[in-house]
Amino acid sequence: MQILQGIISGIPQGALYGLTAFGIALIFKTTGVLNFAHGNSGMLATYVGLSVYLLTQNIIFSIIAAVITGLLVGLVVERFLMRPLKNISSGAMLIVTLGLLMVIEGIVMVIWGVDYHRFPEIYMAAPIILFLENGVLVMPSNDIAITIISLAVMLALALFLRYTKLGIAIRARSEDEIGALVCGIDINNVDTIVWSVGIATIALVGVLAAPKTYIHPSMLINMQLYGITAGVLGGFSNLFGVILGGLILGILEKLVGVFISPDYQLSIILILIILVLLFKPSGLFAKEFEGRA
Amino acid sequence: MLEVQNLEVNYGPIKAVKGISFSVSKGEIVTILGSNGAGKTSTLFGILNIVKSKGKVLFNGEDVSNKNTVYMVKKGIVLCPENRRIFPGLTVEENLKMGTYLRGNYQKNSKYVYDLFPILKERGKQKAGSLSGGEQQMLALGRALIASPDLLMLDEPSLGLAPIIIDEIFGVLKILKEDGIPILLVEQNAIKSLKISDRAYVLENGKIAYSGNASEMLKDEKVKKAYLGM
Repeated sequence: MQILQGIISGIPQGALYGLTAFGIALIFKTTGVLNFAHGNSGMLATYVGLSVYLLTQNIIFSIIAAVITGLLVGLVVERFLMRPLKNISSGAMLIVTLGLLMVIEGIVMVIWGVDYHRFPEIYMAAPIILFLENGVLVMPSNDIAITIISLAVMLALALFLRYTKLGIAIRARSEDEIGALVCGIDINNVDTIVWSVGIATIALVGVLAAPKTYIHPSMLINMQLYGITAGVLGGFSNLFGVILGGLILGILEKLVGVFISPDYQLSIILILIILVLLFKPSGLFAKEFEGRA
Repeated sequence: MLEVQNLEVNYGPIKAVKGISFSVSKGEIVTILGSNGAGKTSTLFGILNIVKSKGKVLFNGEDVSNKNTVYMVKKGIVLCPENRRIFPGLTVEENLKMGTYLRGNYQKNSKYVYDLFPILKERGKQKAGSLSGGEQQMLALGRALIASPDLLMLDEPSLGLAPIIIDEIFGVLKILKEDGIPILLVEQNAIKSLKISDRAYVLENGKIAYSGNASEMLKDEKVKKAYLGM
């Protein structure tokens, strides 16, 4: 029963990890940039959502505001930072995103300060309690809402990438830049869209996670770490694997917390990364044969 | 229809193409020959502005120098690049669909492509990365043709392929010529490409060393010795 409860409580968190990983992997796969400022970009958008909430007292408005801010942050970062620096090495790019992480943190501290802020749950209702033969299962209703929203967004994005012309073009660009160019695909446009959508997803993660993490400048640092872990776990080459990686991670984290100790949650996750990298570096769900280049 | 004047392509201090001029007329196959590093690919990339270039490019009378790649493709200059550059993780159909991203009607033109390369229809749902090298080259060519190009530029279509496949590809190029698609062909395989071409240019160290009628070049012993290594 404890295991079942652990799994059930892990799913909402896992869905958020999955959505975080999805955004990181989308940007990484398409543009080749591993964005260390991912979490903080979402944090900035969450603060905007907070300000809108304080003004309007409307949670839906504030979520929309956060997501729109995410779109804009992605657009600005791509247009004015990533595009001019396109030809530098990926190592240097990593440092650029690390710099961006600090810049965003600085901006937020200047505007909003370093205090912790509360943020309301999206769906407040009595938890759903299942009485089973040998115990009870508790599912907080907000957790259910979070899970549904995250999974729905990921599903929608996956369908978009799979079936629409623009979605296929994004995948094409991620596979071969020259090939995409000679098809007439506007690489810069695609990159802007990918950055915008990617940051918008982490903005959504921010507002969904905010009731538990509270809003503060380093609220999404752990989320980003787990997102990257989920990406490694599932294999960055496969967006579906990334989502599954997130879910597994969320569940594992809860189980470690229940059966070993909450103190070891993070270290066990990090050991997991190392193990996956040692034994299956392409990720648990990456296909072995990716075709000839 | 394509006129290139004083095209220059530089990679930093390295001059890859040093001011070359050439032209392609309607219904013609024009070949640019040259060894590795002669500047062939840079020339094609320079025309499309995939790399920055200087000089004048006229297409159907319009000055398209320094227009971006998207604009050039829209105008109908379609490149089938070296090393094929297909999308290995996408299906064959998706690859072809991307060929019509800007121009060409997929439903209409796919029939033309499938008639030329029936194997592509058979493999439609398969990942492009699982195709053989020859099939991948056919896919790359199909992806370019499905855009119904006004000028088709081909970069080393015979690279790394078995002789029998090369014959098939060159056979298709002949059909394309009959169908009136002008082709700018870049090749190392001199004899095969001269046989199907109208005119040819020999590129050496970024400059045009020789130009002339393709069938005459094939007969001229001096040219063959000096430039074609035969």
